[in-house]
Amino acid sequence: MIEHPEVDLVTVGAGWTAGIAAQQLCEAGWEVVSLEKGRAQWTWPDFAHNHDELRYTVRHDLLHDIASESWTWRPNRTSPSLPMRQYGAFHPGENVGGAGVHWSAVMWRFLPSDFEWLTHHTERYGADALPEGHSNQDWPVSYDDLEPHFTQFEYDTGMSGVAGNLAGVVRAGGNPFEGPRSRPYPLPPLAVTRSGQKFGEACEALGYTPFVQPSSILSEGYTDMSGQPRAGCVYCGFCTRYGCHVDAKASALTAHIPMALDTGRYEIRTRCYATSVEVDSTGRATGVRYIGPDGREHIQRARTVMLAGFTMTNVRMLLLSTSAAHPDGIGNRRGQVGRNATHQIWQNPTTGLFPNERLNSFMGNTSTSHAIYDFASDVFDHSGLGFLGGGQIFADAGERLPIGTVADVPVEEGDNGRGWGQGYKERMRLWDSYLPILVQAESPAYHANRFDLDPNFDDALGRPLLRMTFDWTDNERRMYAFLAERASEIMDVLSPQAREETLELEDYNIEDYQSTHIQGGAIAGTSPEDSVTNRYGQVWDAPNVFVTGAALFPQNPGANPTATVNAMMYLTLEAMKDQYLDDPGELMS
Amino acid sequence: MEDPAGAAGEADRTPLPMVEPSAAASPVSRRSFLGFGGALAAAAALPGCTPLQRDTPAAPNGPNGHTGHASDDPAAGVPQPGLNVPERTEVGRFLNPDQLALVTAVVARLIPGDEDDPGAVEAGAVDYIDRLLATHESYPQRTYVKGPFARAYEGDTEPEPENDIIWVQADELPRYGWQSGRTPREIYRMGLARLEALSQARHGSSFTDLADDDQDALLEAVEDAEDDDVEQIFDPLRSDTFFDLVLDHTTQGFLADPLYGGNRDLVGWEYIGFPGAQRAYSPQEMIDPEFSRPSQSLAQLATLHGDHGDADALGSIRRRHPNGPID
Repeated sequence: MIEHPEVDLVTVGAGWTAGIAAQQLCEAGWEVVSLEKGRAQWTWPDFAHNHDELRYTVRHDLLHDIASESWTWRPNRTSPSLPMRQYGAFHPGENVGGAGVHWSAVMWRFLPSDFEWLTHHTERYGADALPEGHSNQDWPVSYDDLEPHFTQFEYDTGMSGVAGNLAGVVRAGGNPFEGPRSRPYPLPPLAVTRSGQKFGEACEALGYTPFVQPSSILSEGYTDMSGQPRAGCVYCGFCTRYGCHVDAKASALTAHIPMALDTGRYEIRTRCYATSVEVDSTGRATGVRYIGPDGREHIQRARTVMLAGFTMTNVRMLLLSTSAAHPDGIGNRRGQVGRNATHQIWQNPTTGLFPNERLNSFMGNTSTSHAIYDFASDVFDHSGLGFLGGGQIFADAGERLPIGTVADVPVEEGDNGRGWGQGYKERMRLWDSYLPILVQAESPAYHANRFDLDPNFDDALGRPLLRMTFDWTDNERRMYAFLAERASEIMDVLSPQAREETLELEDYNIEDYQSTHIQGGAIAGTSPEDSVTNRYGQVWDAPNVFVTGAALFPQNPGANPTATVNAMMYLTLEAMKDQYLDDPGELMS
Repeated sequence: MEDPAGAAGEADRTPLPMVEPSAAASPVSRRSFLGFGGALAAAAALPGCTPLQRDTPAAPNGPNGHTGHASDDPAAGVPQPGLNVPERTEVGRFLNPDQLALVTAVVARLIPGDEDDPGAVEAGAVDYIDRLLATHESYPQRTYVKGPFARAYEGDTEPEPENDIIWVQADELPRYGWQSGRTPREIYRMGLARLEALSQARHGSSFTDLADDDQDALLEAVEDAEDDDVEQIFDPLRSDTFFDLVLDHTTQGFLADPLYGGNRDLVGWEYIGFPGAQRAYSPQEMIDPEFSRPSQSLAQLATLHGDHGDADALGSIRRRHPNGPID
């Protein structure tokens, strides 16, 4: 066992929240070490020449190494759990910068009502209207608490979009349903592809309010918080699952981590696999135990520990860090760890074929498209609909590369529809002539859905994998059916020559990609009786342990989470600089 | 008679086109699989320091290695011609001549073509497949291969517990995705032999001697996995597991970057009109209905140099930080 001298903070992971925390805390004088199980990577040379669909999209080269550690899933308690052997329903990352390097960079602020889900929906619809078996809670922070931090993050790294609500005034071109912003976006929105354009026009024709998807991909040159100018997007089409070759896509690598390294007080140790949080006899954390690249066991001592990995990594770390003081894992004295596991509805309800048009959909990125918020969250009246919740409707209008898309050309009448043969070969030519509309929507929390440790499957070290028990309920099926109908109506306006539709929510499964927005398991709240952490991610049972990321989210509001993940990190760091630095280990108020 | 290792796979869900069930044989994943760090460290590690190790072989960013990583070598980000570009050969690296001939016949039906209108065979998809099988003992993408493995049961009554088996109701098994313990090598070995056996059983001839229509009919039966004789002959392999894998590989061999052995002379990309490895499109091009650009491969993509000094318009991109980790 190799012991490393105590530092102020050790983080598990070197991604978004670790980078943000290191930058702010190192600049405040702290010494920080991040333990990253993956490897070092930088824009140059590692992303300079990565335009290879087989390697990064099909073979998932940048993703977390699922061979050595996976996750198991079962739909409910009476079903068996099996591991996700190949990607898969979600795509966690690894390496310096984490999933924030290969992410889609879609940035939404959750709506004000999302943060008070329980109060809001009970008041509006009554307790009887809430989904049966739900365990949704209000967040311990409000939109107003986070607003300055959303804004700060947007300007720190650069973000592209049009403000739909500026200080309470609704403005054209943006999301009219969003919460009020104190400042406009720093940059104008991204450009759109032909399919993004078509989708926007169809939405307008129906009286909706489409707007270009907001993004952490720069639309033009921008000097970010590091003082360094970065180039705008060049729409190469190799975006989600790829590091950005020109640094247009923000990640922890573009500003926060370099700035932390500049202080000389930050060290990232790669190929170091954290195995548990070490505690003393009182249950206070004393550091993190890990396996080094040499295969030997190490402990990095620290006065504060931060779990900054993927949602499931963080939850598993809590559960595996058992001791006399925390027999069921850190934060778990009242059985709260693992509760409120959520994912996200993410499906393609309708696809239209336009054989005489090329849509240029292999260019661009996820956000070179329009979206509508007209049926998201609770912006529309749910009375009598039989479900709660909503989502965005948008076009899959960019970065559509061939290997993954040639098989999904809608079949026209007379075509035998076989996915091979001469008919398929001819159909393949229409690979850039079809437009899928997508729905991304809420995942309420239920008592039945949770994380725990699997009894049968383990990792390369012989330690149990994290198990997710999760399934959809009728609420989500009805929600999706409603949103799918709306999407289908939009497709009607476009009048495709052929179309394929999936108007029912498919059974939850771990094979089809469903977004990487797995959330919950270490939720933040106002009381230790119904949460694992306070509003700052500080574990009630062990106040010098912080959880970061979407494990804190009580339920999934249905929009991409990174903006809220990072705003909460900013909120926490503001409080730490105010209250914690002088008194590490005390619960903040 | 069920083969326990195989039966698990045989109840399996077949992979989607984007999922290719193979584990890398690269040193990186072997190390990971053995246990983080493993015993493969080249340098003695100073406490707390990441040893200076190179775990990619001679071809950085090549198809046989994983992600290129921080390096001071300006060529590190560029695939090296000669190392990655495959040589055309009639001799298989993995498949024997009979297997090669059979794969060629199958691939020719999956994406047909000829000299004037190239299909997958003309594009070198057979080379792609053979190279893949030769390179990867297990899977090209990292795959969790630890047991126990799933086995399906029909009806409502779960069979008696057995060691190393997780029983799953047959209708539910597809929800769990790929659950096979079989590698692509095994799937091809078993599948090709069984396809040939099926051809003999139904037609009294080798698959390669059949007319196109008869070949297609056999492939449809293998894909659909409904007929009793198909099930019996293919047992313990699911015939659709074999079919879907070959189809996935054929598509990849037609449309992947040519450095993997297929898409020769970019015929696949030219056919569908995909410009390939491009660094940039303009907003005007994104909405141009007449957009067209010749295809280019990754090897043809102009290098992005980080060290052009004052003249480098992209000098702002992040390079490895002097205080950053070196792998």
